[in-house]
Amino acid sequence: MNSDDRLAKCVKRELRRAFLGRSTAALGGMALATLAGDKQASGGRAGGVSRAKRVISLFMHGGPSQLELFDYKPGLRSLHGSELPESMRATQRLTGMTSGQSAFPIAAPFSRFRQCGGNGAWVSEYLPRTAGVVDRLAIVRSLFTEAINHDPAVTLLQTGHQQPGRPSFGAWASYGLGSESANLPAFVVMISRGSAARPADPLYARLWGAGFLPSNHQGTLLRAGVDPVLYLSNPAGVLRQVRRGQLDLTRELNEQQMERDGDVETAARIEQFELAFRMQSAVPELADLGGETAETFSLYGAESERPGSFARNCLLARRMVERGVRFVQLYHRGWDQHYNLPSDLRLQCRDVDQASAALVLDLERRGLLEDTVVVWCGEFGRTVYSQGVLEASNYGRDHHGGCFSGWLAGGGVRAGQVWGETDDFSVGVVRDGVHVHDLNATLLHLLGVDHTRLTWRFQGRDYRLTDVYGRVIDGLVRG
Amino acid sequence: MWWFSKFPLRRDLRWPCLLLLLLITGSAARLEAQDPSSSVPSVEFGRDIRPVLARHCWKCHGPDAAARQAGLRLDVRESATVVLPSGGQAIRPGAAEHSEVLRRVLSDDPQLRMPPRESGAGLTAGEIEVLRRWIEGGAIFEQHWSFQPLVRSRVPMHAAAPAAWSRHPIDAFVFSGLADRGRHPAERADQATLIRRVWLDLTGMPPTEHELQRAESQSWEQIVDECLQSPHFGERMALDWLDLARYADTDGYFGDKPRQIWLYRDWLIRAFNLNLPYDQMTTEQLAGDLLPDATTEQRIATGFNRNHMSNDETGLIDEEFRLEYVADRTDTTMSVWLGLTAGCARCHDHKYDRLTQREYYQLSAFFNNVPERGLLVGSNAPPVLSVPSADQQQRLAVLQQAASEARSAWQPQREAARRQVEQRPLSAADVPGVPAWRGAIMVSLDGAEDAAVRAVGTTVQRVRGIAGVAAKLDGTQHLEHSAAGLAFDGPWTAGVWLQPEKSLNGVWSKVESTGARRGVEVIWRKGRVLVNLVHRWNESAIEVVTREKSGGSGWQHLVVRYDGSGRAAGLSIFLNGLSVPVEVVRDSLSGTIDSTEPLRIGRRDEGLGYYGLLDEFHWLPQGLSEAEVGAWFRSERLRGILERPAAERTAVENDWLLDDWVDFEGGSDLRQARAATRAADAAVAEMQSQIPLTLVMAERSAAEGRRPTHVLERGEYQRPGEVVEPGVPAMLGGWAGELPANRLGLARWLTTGAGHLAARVAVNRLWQQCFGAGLVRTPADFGTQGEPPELPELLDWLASEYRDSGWDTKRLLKSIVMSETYQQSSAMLSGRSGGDEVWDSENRWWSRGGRFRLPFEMLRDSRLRVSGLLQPQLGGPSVKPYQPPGLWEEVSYDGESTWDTDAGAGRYRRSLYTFQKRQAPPPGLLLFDGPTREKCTVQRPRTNTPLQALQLLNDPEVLQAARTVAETLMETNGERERIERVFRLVLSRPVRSAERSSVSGQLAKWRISYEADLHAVAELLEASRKELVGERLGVVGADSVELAVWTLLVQSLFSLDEAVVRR
Repeated sequence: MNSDDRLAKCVKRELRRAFLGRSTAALGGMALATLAGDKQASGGRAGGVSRAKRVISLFMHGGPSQLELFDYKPGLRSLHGSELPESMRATQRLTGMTSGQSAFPIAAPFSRFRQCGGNGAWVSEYLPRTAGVVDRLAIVRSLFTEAINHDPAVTLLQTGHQQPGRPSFGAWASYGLGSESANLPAFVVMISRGSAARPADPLYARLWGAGFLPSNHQGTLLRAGVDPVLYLSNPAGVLRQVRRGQLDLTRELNEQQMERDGDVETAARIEQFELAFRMQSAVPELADLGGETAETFSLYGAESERPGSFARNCLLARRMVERGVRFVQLYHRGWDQHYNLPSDLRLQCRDVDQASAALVLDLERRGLLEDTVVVWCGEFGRTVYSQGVLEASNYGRDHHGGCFSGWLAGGGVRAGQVWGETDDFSVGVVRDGVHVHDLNATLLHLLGVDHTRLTWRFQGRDYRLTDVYGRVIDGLVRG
Repeated sequence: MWWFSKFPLRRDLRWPCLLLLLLITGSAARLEAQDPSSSVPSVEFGRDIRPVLARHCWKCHGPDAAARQAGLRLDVRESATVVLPSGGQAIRPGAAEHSEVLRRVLSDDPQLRMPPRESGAGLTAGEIEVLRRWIEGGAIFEQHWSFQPLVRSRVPMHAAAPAAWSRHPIDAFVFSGLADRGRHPAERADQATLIRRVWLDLTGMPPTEHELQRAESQSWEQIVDECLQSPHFGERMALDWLDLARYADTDGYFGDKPRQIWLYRDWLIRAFNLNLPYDQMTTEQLAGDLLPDATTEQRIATGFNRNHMSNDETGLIDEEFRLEYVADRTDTTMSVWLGLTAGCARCHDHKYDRLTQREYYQLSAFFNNVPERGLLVGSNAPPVLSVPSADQQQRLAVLQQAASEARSAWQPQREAARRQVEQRPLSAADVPGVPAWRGAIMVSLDGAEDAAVRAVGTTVQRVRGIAGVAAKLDGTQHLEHSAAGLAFDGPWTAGVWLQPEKSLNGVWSKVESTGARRGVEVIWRKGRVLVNLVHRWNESAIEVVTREKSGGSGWQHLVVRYDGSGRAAGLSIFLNGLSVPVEVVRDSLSGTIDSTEPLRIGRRDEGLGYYGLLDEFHWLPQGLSEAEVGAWFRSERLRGILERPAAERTAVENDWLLDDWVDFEGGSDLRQARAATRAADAAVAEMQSQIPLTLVMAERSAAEGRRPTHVLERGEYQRPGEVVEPGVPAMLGGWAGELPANRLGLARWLTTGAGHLAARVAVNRLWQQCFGAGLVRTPADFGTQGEPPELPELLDWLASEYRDSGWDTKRLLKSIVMSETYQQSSAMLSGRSGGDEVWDSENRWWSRGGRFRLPFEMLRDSRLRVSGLLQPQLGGPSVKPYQPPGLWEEVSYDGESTWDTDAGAGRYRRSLYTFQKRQAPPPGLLLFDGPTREKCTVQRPRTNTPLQALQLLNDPEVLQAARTVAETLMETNGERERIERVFRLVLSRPVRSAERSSVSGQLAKWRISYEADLHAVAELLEASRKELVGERLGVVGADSVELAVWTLLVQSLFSLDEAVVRR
């Protein structure tokens, strides 16, 4: 056999393994090698940084108000109650909820801001712990999106398209990079409910779905309770040694079957059952916080003692990335403050502030922040004008896509800066805009993946997370 | 190169191994395989050149006029060969060395090289070579294979074909294809495998014991006919079609509300069972409403294009989403019937196929005339059809008659009662008053409160109240009571009358606005009441919320009662005198809830205000009984009305007085007559709610006129351009003049004008059903970017056969499954070609039977059927079998949707009847690659994951089916006989001796384990029947250890590769 034949054979074998989905890691490795390896083709950029191996996305579902949290506009105080200038409205698409309003009174931010950190970033009094770690964050004030309603906006941010059908970011990450863990899924999702009185907006399976990618890349929902992963626990009364016996029997009969039929897929199935068996101990081990110290719980806050809380999920997220989960997606629900903004926003901030900051600190002290990106944002921002009547202490803000705020931290992010600027009314971006496609392109870049090259052919077209858009924001990436 | 076709990264050929491999086995190698006898293989445009041009050139030099670079177009021969101003030619037929195209692809100069570096990889050496030979050979452009007219292929007669492979045309094509490559077909599969195979393919389930036994004595044709005649055939066929039709039971976007369209699903099953010709199915689904004298059935069929999602998100832009629905119909219709990805042309001319943006909007014009809106209000977006059964119609008439009679009987009595009430000397003084509770406070909200109460914010308006006047609030004001001395840690009761105007209101509170947020707050949210008793927010608190939405409008009396126990169980909520069920959100209170805050009426802490009317607030330091709360409600209401002069009372108040009088003063006859009327009205309403609705297509009325269709720039709703008329793409041939320019015309055109393509697409799907993969491996894309079939002659023969038989689906399926090709063994034995690799491992030449993992529905249905649990009736409203609890709450709007598992037969119906919620589809379905049904799905992936293994091992539904089979096995005596039987039951075949000994060995070990742990036996038997309902419950009688170990054996067999793979 000459060397070419040997090579061809090796490739064939690898491809078959990948094709069977038996070894997503092999596929991931290959995808990565191919995607990032060619610097020339991707403008000499990709592959160079690649500090991050994992992502934790803290998604504030509903659209937090940038005006009260990060986008400091002291000048609005004197304009409180006055009409938003026509010129500031002309370019914005308004939702059907406020487009019929006869007046658009400016609602000055009711929260106080403090300058903090080495760079003097302005951060809301409602996020004191976040303010405490501001040197580790890149605050982005210039995010923007075209979408103005929850369903399309969240779908756009997480799948790259306003209409359903595309794979989610986590699924792309699982497909492109595979899993680092043999016993845990590559992509895990956790949901917590917010404290706001306002009803929580809905979520959808599509947001962590695989779209047209093979379904093994879909996110696995980790739930608080006895069965953190669906069907994880043995039915009552199934003795461990009998379960082992069941698996042995299945393996034996499957092997006899494979002997007769020669289908390698059968071998893959045997392996999946063994993997499932291992998951049955790996997942409870992950969810068992018995080994965490009191100091850790106090870092994340008392809420972290409560299963299902955002703080608990942050702590679990850290445990997941420690164990090689590629993409952890948290949702915190309840940020849709159409009314009752002052009291509900405070409650929502309180739910997430300490734990978000704790996650960054905890990752850092464990040496994980270097190769884990943490991203904190919602699907859009909120209007500077009041939705409905502007009252002294109770009013709301409608959806606003023209600008919104979030932050990035960790693996390869240029921290300790505030990126982008909005106009005096926080209506539009005036400098260094970051479209949601740009955000996703940048996150992929941090993972060492060129967003234009991570593709999947579906119905005759090569699709990618960033559709046909997106550019890497170099300023957010550590040089 | 089979595996390349599925491999996602095939255009990223930078990895040296891949590149090398491509050179070894690239298209040149395939050409050799094509024609081994010739030393210079022929070049075919469609097979060899079009893919190369499409991949590398057409994005910038193709059909999309807007994206075209340098004015050069390489998808049309006239343009590609035109003499350029420079004197050169992109392609000079017969002269490759003078063709600019070839020079450019070979160039090293980055300025000249094509394709440009940033647009991807260059051409491979193999590709360049075939391109050169094609130009040398005259650069003949051919029409894309799938758009060519359909001509019945000549059936080949291969000299080497044995008799068995010469009879059936399918076999002749396949044999000839194999023989040309020096291969031969696999042997016939054994009979047991074949029986199971055809049952699964044509009915979606394996045969029962009884059916298996019968089949063993039948001819193959008899077996096939039995499957085709089975009512389960229609269900099997509908399963795939429902993916295409993106069928679901909810709206999908935002609130994802339930909708009724299951009548469409049932129509589909019937249509397949009746073997409705495909062209007729096409017409009825796309335009049944436009047929002359359209029947109800034909109108139900049009639900096909109402299965798209609908959006109820307040604030959306109506036109944006209405156009989304139109686009969905256009894209789905093109995908399903023509295998074309029309959606690309929504924003620009198609990059690869000759479909212009203008043509896309012409197609969409057919679907743009529905009287509909983008914003869904309520449920079941119109147009809808109400479809009572004859029985329902009859029963409704009877109930309406009864209601009318009851009303006739009640009306005169009511009138008499009303007169008595009017003449009643009763005054407010006669009504027992609200007791003067010790330590109570009272805020009358009429503006004359004592010094402890102060108004905060804007001026409070006063309007007519429940008694005297009430406060009218708009969120900008509230009332404060100093609350000095009120203790909230002990027992207390608080009540207030309210009539809210907005959905979210702070009713009353005594709570800190920051810090621990200690205190009490009562919030009204969309008809639900939230009560929080907080020591520390989120940590130490009781939070409850009422389970049902309050249905009433008008005044409601809200009473909150707390017993001071520190437990959620000690907190009760009463509406209008009656205790209402609550959901406990948090129950962790430990510590005081008393604060120094004032009592705020009409506000939550300093924030959320109250919008609407409030009246008569009481707080008292004791718990009241439900009877006392009831009396309080009544007396306050009654006194309030009676205090007003009769002439000033409203109609609502008079009705209330009358009802109260009937309740307390009228005789039992009177109460009975009223109850009878109410019951009869309720029965009518209940009957009416049972009459199914279904979403259907319709056209706008003549008065409204046809809605104009615009070309939308970049596909955006706010950028309408030129107005276009309905029309079809030129690349598919013309529009016959006599067809009407509406959906009916389009439907007819699909199976006539475009019939050549429609037939190819349809037979490809039927082939896929029988082999697991289509002759065309890209069933969703028959355009130039799709993969051409290896056996185009076979595809065309099948397509002609289908079309010429009058689109007879059962006949075509029978033809396929009768072939030797279908009946081959599916074993993937290596060594047939001498090497250790399996030849044609993707089965592109059909050298074996199909072999593929079954979809979730078939796995579940098989378990239900072999266990005897299956409820076989066809059709009806969607059902809710067991699923793990909490999945809907986790994602639905405010967690308010709940999956209520059916109590009876609904648990055991076939899976296509399972309620499909797009936001949270059945979990097993998602694990086994099922779609969310948000969009048309032409092909499901087939993955193999540990989460699937967990479902097979631990889903309570699997366990209960296993137990049910085990119970059946207990009827059989002897282990050997039982093993024999369980293999026939679960795997439809006899057990092999090696298997028998493996099974026996394990059973013995398990028995020992369980005999030592009888507690575990009891637990297992309990777990395996927990979700069982109906007569199965309690059928035990057997030795419990035996039942336990056989249950686990059956469960193991359910998870075998052989049980989940159709082979």
